[in-house]
Amino acid sequence: MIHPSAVQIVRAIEATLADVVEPAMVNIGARSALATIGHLLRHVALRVEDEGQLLADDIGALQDLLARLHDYLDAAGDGTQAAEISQALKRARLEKGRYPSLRMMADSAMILRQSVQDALAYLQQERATRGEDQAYLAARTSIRDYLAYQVRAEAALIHPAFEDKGPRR
Amino acid sequence: MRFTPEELTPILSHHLGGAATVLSVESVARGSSRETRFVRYRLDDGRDRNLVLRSDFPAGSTDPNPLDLEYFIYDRLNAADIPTARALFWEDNPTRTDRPFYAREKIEGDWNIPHYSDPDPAYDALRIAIAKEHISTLARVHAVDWRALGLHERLAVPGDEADAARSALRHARDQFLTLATEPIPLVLEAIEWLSDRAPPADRLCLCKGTNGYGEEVFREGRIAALSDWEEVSIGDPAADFAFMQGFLVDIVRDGRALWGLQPALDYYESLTGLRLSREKVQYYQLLRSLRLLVMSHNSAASLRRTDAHIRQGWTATEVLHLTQHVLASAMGMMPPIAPERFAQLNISVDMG
Repeated sequence: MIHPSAVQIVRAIEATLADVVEPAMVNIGARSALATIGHLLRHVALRVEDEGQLLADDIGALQDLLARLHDYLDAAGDGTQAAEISQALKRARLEKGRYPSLRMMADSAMILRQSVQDALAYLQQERATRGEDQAYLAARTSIRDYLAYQVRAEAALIHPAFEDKGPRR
Repeated sequence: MRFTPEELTPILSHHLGGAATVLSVESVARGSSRETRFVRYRLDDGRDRNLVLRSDFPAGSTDPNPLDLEYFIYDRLNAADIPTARALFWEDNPTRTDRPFYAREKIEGDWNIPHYSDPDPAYDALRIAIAKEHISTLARVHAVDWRALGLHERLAVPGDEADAARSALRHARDQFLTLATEPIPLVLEAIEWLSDRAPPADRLCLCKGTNGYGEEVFREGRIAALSDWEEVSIGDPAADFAFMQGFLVDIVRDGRALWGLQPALDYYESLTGLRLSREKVQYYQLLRSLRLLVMSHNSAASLRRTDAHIRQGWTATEVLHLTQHVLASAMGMMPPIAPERFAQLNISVDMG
């Protein structure tokens, strides 16, 4: 089944709730829940369309970042932390020859992002002694660049679904 | 537990010292962190009474602070000279309920204030009077002897005034790392950034946390009860100006500023002698964004269950994203979001 697409079905559900169900509702609690449902349906429609590419991009960005962090930690003599990154990159690898589901891609991104979080926690502990070191500062900057990228990318799933679309609750 | 009259009748009879009959149970639509219900009941003296029940959502609360902390605060504040509802009972006996809840008395009044949102300048005086009423009541909260009430038994206490903000940051970090739903490295970056800029408190006091239009019970223009104590803390009084929904909106007529953050801080100083800076309030707005991020993250954990409330789906998506954006922009990583974008979050269907 190619048509109707999942997005078309979700949009039809949203329109039916807004045009048919909502006018018949008098209970405030039900109207409030319905308002929230409308926003979340638009969010789901965006995820159906775009989440696969966003996750693929995120995984790529995380792999690049972790490779840089690995190299910094390795050069700085933090072998344990560098090895943990290598292990995370290995565990997050998607199975070759198998079409990845969104769940599999999300799991992969989670492993990689956890590794970034762990590396950041470690680097924060080291700030007092390495705070002026250029390589350290570059590693921290690369993490900040990724964090900004991640928020910007995620915005594509949020703003079109919620902004100027009425009460959330 | 579905909180039906049939389920609640024996529980109220047990706790209220007499045969109770629950007449009606009404759910309140607005809340995003927990469930609130208004219960009308009759005791064997034939008089009808009302109370409020608070429980977590079936899939858990949005707020990582436990429900029994909220009850504890109400219970201890009964002895303080501030308008709050009296705590009635805590119920977590598994033979009576599978979802713990507590009851407090229902204070007559309404969160809604007629004409408060009417842009007609004729209502400027009303808006300013309501905001001043709220600030003067908060000043009384800040004067509470929290040690004498034993609030330090459950609330994190900063080491000293200089530690006030960092204490809140440690609490947020601990809660975030405990949740372990999804790694969000931005949280660690933001905590470090905020810690570097932590201002000392003017003094350590009881802070209510969530304030403003929609958070309190008003009657005839006065605060009948301060509600929503779920984000209570011991810290800097400036923190209470960080989330004061609708009560700090600029009112400018003919080029003259009649109300807004600075006039509100000036009014607070006239009551307390404490001069709180705008910059410090802005700092605590960021700290509150961090806390809201942690709460939204907690909502995402609830979505793992099939009985999650739809509201938790919203906080786990839009609110979680916006709090990250706020912190990222504060750290100079990206442009800020327009304030109007945030105002939308507080609009509910019953505010028409």
